[in-house]
Amino acid sequence: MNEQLRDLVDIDRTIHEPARLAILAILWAAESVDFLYLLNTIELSRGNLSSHLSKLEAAGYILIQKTFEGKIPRTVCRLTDTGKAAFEGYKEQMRAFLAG
Amino acid sequence: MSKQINDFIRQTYQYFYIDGLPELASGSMYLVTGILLAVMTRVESGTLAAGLVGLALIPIILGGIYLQNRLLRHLKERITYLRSGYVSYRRERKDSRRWIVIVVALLLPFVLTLLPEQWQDLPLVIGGILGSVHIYMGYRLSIKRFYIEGAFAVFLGIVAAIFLNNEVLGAAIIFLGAGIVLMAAGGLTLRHYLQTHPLPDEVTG
Repeated sequence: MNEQLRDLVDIDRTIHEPARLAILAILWAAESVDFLYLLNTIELSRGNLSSHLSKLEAAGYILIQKTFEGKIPRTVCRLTDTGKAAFEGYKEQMRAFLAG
Repeated sequence: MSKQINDFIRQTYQYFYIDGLPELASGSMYLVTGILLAVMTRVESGTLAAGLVGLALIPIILGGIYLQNRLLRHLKERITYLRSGYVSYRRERKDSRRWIVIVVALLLPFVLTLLPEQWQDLPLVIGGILGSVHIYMGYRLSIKRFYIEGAFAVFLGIVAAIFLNNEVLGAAIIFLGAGIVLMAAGGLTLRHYLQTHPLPDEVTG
């Protein structure tokens, strides 16, 4: 296996999926965002978005908190330190792979 | 999902300005500053009264910024977060923005009260600074209307420097003019936002 191919195999599959990559990119740019913002911006169905968020939460990349703003429920997501490092590592890996 | 990752990042930064509310808030502060500067032109320069009006600018502007931030957050909760979602930005971004405003607010009265009698370039400097800030923000965030707002501030600075021989009046006109443009742009943006983002069913129902 050549080195370039090995780099590609080492890519974090949890992040490599486009919808999850988009979620992490948004959370990287902000401190926290709610479910509605992610839904409007990434344009996925509610079920699909929930499923991706659960996978990212299970990997320890994001934290999900359910809060109330008055009577309205709000599901807020934020990037963990592990998630931030994983996202930045992924960007670096992809840059290196594409440059090579 | 055809957007590139950079588009998602840029869109998240742009989101703060999607509803025009920050421009309405900044525009109102510009108007208050413009009115205070216009009042300064009515008092004789170099007198105690002029100094006091200059010093009054500091608490009024800082208090105004504090109230403006609270009002902005309240309006975003009631208008924007219900329609298109909640985004909170990192502390370091907020802090750097806050410090720029505080430093300008603290320096402005001293510049205006201590400036030489005939510093006719002052409107040009203020128009240039306000214009540069808006143009830079337009460039950083890829928001085209900020270029227009910045160009208008520069235009006002040039016109005031050429046609007015009272530098404080020139500064007042720049703040008033830029404030009106910001409020108009913010109002139009808010109207468009409300038309394109109705309340979701779970909120109305």
